[in-house]
Amino acid sequence: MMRLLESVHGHVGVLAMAALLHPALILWSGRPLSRNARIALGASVALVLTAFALGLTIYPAYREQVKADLFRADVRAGLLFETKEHLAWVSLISALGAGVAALAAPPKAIAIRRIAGRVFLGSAIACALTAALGTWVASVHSF
Amino acid sequence: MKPDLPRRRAAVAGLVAAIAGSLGYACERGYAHIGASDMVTIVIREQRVNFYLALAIALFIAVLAGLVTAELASSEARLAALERALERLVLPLLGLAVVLMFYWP
Repeated sequence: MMRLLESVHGHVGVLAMAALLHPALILWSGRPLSRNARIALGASVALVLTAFALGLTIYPAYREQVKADLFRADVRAGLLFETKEHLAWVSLISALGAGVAALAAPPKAIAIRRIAGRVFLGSAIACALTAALGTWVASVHSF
Repeated sequence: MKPDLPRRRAAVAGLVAAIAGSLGYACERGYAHIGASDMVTIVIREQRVNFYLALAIALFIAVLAGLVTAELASSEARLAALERALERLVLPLLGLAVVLMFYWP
């Protein structure tokens, strides 16, 4: 069961990484968002939230069943797993904040949407690092 | 008050919350590493900062920063100044948060 959840978590995380690039691109110029763009932006944030929530769900089992063996197998991988968790938080909170900013910004607030686009880019980069580290750590030791 | 002002305040507050939440969590990692190294770090960190508690504190920092920003950005001039500052600082600050996450695993 945990193996399945871990796999779903990983796949949703990779999807989130790709999805976060979309709001970064559509917000880059600062133009007002269409209705469909707003829906896509909300979906991207929801995807990151889902990936993070799945990670939180399996974290207790990771600590009990995997963590000790992972550190025995490779200390660097164990420490990088922790880094991955923290980068996932950066990705989530950046996407949430930028999502609120992009959706709340009035049509004339071009600068705010441009800044939100840059924050989404930062979120996408953090998410990409998270996915890469997660994949590597899972290859060292897993459920 | 201009009709757009409340929405701009909310938007700027969201951006500040994103940065504060990221940097706040990075600083918590630093706190967890005080006086510790290598394998000892791991044990001490888990004793000092529970993962879920750390997330809750970082979320609190983000929300608090957002609320304070919304309160401070009460005029058009202050909002414009905040937007200019954010435009310059947002990527360096997010980059700093990512670097700190690697520095304090």
